[in-house]
Amino acid sequence: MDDRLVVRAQGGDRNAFERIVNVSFDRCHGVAMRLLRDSQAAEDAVQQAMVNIWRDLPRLRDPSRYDAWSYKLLLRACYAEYHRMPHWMPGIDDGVVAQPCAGDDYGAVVDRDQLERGFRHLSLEHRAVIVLHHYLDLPLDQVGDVLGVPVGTVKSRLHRALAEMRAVLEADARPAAAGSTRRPAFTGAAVVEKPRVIR
Amino acid sequence: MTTPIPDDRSLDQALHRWLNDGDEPPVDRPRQIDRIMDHVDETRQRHRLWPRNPFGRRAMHRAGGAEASFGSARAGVVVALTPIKSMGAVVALVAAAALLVAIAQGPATVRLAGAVAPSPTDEALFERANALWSGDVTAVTDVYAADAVRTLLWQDKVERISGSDDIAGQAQLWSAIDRPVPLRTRLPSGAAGEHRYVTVSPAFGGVPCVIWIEDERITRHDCILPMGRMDTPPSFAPVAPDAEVRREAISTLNNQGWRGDLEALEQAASADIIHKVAYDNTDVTHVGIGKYRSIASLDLPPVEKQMPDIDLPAPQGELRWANFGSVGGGTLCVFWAAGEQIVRHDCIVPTRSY
Repeated sequence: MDDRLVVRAQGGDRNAFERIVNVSFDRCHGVAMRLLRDSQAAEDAVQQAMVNIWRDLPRLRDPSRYDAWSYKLLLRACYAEYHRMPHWMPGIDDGVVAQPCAGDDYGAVVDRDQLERGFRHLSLEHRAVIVLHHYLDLPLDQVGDVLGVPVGTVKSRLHRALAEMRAVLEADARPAAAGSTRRPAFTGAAVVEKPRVIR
Repeated sequence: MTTPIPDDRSLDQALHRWLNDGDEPPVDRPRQIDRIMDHVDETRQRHRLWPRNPFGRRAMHRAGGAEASFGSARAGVVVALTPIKSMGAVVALVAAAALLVAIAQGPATVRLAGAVAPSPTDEALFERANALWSGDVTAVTDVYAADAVRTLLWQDKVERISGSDDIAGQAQLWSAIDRPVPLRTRLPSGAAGEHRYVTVSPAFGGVPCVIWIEDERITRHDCILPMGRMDTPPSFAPVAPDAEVRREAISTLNNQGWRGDLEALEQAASADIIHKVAYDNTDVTHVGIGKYRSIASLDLPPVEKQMPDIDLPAPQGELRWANFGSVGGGTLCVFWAAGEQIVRHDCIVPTRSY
């Protein structure tokens, strides 16, 4: 973010802040959407975060740290929104799948669905680490900066988050392995665009 | 038939692709931005609640064990501050805040190993605290050296600390000041068995405090609190709306994921056990000091879940918000600000029997 814009907004310049909102909205919305998995909740969280940013901007001492600071406020708003959300998970019921076809679009949708379900199993703290690292591409030390935790904690959270994801995926895989006709297990293939092979 | 499960690298890649897939702005982006700006237009920035020199308008808030002997402070008594002059301008520093009190029944006391009066060591401690703020050391020591130290006494029954080393090892704090600050930085200890830490409480947006711990108990804390003159007189809400605000704060905190027992908190928030301090530039008034009651079910959120400020309804020209502070192991406070200065706080301070 342009430091001069931030300084102007700190001084109460509404137009400068509107430009900041315009510049950062998509990224913030993307983060909130990925964390909360709900467009309405994401919209509310981003709105609340932006209002909080505007309110507390005069307290920001170093304008060059705006990005990390704003992500911190955004995460807090997401946490708050998350706790207000009803905690149920709409399953994507794909019905009974007799024989998934190799390499078709349906397989990709199912894989995304499995990732979605695995991700929803994660706590918000674990989601946050994944989103900051894999979506915003922040290095681990900056993730720690945003989350206010040491790098070691970030690494352990990331590790645990991936382990939980794997556990969910493995649980999905078991019925298939037992000859079930339920959803095919995640292989990662469709998402990484490799041919999907089902024997 | 076996179903392959991706290795970590594949899962990493899959997550990365999945998260970055279809990254398109919402279709009603302009409407959402308009909505945000509408709310922005209705929101006052929190200017000057923290002046540029954070210590220019502050005073010290201290709390010590029952053997503390600074000034005339005694258990349950709040001592008025003497105004402090800082460089140049006359800043009628004043009144501070306060915490705890009540020792109605003469509980066992905790003897402090170190003197409560300022000492070179103390000044060194506050230099450390000050360093966290990149503030003016001279201003801090001026404040500290003056009589403007508010001494309040901790009961012996306060927060139990499970192992001093655990404290030092805790993660960093979600701090409202703009950079991560170690939750508790260990300082040179005084007598054997006594430990000292400097920490930053998120109350007021970040209050540097030095915590004394002896026998796994907090026996004293010294905090630097924001002070200042009020250009406009506060208009405290009458008692009834006050209760309403408190209920809303508690309700909001619960809605935001605080796992405490609402009923216990409401009980704790009853008039006689809430800690209230109103402060202006000349004096401090305690309203309704009462004894504290155990909140056995208090279940504080992890540090990284420290709650953000929660805005509360306030009359025109005033601000109110609720916040969790870490002092005392977790304190629910409602703050009032008028004339761009904090003028009052009401806190529910957790106490536990052990």
